[in-house]
Amino acid sequence: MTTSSDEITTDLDEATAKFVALENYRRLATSLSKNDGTKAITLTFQDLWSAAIHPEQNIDLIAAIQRDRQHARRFDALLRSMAVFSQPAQAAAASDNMDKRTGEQFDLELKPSSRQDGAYFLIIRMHNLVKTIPQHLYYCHNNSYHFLSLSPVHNGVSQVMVGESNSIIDAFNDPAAEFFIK
Amino acid sequence: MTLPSLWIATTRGPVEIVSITEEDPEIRSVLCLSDSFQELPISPLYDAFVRRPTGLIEQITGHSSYRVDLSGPITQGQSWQLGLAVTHLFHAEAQLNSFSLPNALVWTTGKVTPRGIVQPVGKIVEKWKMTIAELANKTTKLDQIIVIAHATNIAEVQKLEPMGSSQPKIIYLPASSLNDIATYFELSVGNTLRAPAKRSPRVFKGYIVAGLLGLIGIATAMKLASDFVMPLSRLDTEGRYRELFMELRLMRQEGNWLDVNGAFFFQKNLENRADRLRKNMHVEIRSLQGKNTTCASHKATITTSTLPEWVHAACQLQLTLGNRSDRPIGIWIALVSHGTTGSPTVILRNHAALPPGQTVTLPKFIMEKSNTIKTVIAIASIMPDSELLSWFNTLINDVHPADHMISRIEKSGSGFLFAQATGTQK
Repeated sequence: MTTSSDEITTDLDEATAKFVALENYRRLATSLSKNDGTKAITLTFQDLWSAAIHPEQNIDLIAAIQRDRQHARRFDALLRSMAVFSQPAQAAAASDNMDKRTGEQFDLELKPSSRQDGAYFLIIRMHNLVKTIPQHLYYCHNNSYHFLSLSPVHNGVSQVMVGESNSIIDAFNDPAAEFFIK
Repeated sequence: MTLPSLWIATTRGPVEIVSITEEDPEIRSVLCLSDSFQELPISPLYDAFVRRPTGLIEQITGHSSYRVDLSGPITQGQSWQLGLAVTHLFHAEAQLNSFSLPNALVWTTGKVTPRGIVQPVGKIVEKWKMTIAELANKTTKLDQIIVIAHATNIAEVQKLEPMGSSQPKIIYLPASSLNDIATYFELSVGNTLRAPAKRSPRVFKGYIVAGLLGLIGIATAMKLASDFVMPLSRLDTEGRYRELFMELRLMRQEGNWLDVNGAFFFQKNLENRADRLRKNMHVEIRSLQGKNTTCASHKATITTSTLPEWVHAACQLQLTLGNRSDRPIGIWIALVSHGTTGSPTVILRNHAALPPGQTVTLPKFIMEKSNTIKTVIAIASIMPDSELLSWFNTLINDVHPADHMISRIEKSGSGFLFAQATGTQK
């Protein structure tokens, strides 16, 4: 094949290689767009760390982590290692609903608002002081982690206002749930 | 129970109090957005505004925890305090008596101190403009707007809204305290506000108890100090310095915090006294002009550790002692000649008990012409000097007194003077 000197020349092998590369890229993009979240995704430790430090900004990431058993196990190990205080599962209570969960390191108390509009106040009483300011209360309920931002701690007490639909209400009443503070 | 409509002015538009609810005292007071369960970040400040000991609201209502739902967010500042304080006044009144302000809107801005004093705030122009804009959107009919703020802020609003020109009618309520507001609305809770100012008998009782406790505290401290100082003072007064030093050392080494510090300050007191005595002890040496022409008339006050060289001349010398303090002192003085070998020659050794301001001139003496070191040593004391005398005698025999000897005299609270003239051959 003869061409003029100012045209780009490409031989057949090079064109074939470029075509294959483009086809692979198209297939990959199609595959990713069709991913329903059930397939394994690759996450670095940095991703897990970001999710643990800033859970409010990484809601989708946390959901993705918890869909994958392997990532969920790594995330669980990371969160447990980050806990400043922890409260293990409670002994099974006689009544269905608890109003207080006590632990060696902190207690939790759930009080409904007198306005009876579905608002609850979760009172967290820490037994010891820590050097760092606690940022989150998080809990493992039904093999899934959930986070609540803590209000400023005053005299070892923090308080969070939640609605009755918040998952912490169920977790609070489930003796098997575990709570942590970091 | 329906409360009057109340707006809290903010620079982002007025915020309406939607509801107020008494909560369990274990719950911290919260401000939240109506129907959202979203607590506002300033809730801890509101809790401090409500709850004793810093809080004002609990003082008025007797309850320590509230949830207040607001129509919009309040993010910073303290101008919300007046609006919430008024809300609590209305709420407390409504619980006792029927209280309402039909077709009225209460507009508030201002800070409130823990004693219920209303203070002015800033950005009134912005707040009022936002209020006017919001009023235009309000569909319900208003007969009047009651503007509650500090007189300074009221004046600012009045500049923007000339009297009588607006609809609905604006009523201005300049408030210097919550009392003014309670009086205007004829609230029975106003009695609670006035009560602290009158200082109830209970408060007086508290003051009396506090006063008695204070007196007991002072008496105990004085007794402790007395018990502590008395033995040391006694040893000092009797001139028993060895025992005094031993006592102070024991206190420093084996005593408690009070003993250690007490010993330190007592020792400082003795050292200061020594310094004062040293300054108030006046020692003057004179060379008298005689028939011998080599002897000229000289005079020197000994203030440093050096004697004038003319003391080596074989002339007639005379020492004068003076007491410049306001209390009697005793001065031991000696002039000694130390040769290179042998024992020192005591040329003069004398004692003078001087009343305040008095001076005494000691007998004249003739100094032999020699190259020996001449030393003047003087010790001034206001206490018995039996122990000092033995130290004095030791010192005058030593041409170079040991530092610890000098230190011992100064630590006993005695003034010490030491001056030397080395040989004429120098």
